[in-house]
Amino acid sequence: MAAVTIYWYGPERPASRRCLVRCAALFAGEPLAGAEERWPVQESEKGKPFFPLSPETHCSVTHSGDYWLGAFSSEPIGIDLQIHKPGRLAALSRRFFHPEEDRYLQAFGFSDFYRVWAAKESFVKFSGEGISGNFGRFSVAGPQGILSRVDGLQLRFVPFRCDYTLCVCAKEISSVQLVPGK
Amino acid sequence: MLEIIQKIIFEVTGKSEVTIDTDFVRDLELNSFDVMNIVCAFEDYFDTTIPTRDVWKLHQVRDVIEYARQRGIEE
Repeated sequence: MAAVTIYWYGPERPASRRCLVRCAALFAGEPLAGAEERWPVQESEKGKPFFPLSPETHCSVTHSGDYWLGAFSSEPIGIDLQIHKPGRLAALSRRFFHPEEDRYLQAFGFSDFYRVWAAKESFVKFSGEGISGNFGRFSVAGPQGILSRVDGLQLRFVPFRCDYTLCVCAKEISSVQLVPGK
Repeated sequence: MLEIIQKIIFEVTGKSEVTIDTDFVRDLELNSFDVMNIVCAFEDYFDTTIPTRDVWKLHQVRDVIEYARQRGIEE
């Protein structure tokens, strides 16, 4: 079961890499001083960050609008935050989503577009695969709405700010805690 | 081509500091939603389709220009 801690920073924040390292230290209950030396970060081929000196610490990062978020757990996780802003929603859905998702969104006027988006992104971030090839090949929606599980993975939406949608993906999520970054 | 790309990026994201060396993620801090919106706008403008697997190889404006040149996409 994944107990997930999500650290968030607003617009006045350090660079993404520094945020990640500071969050890793916070998650480990360590002081921030010297965190960059203790928590070197590497990225997978697809860009998912990991900590080579602490493989049991899993993380996933996202940024959108004014916010940067880093999710940490002892289990693999994926996270996505998306601000609600104007875009070619119908075209994006038709172009990049699974036909089942497109049908669902069309039926309900695209009101759940950002939930579908965040759910799909958190799913591909869980695997570390990213959007590169698989984005349209799986569906997070059925005729009745957005699914809570896809391919054995749980999707959980977490209230954040209005005008943002936040979704976490893991095999089994026991708890999600939102904590301001330092 | 550079001017058209600048115009599309500005229309979609409001970002105007775009040069041939601009990196979409590192310099403009775009996320996947922004990039895909730009892709849709680019495809509409040029009446073409960029395979999804190719989208994530285009990190900088210069990559888009080179990609368009190789694919015969012209203004």
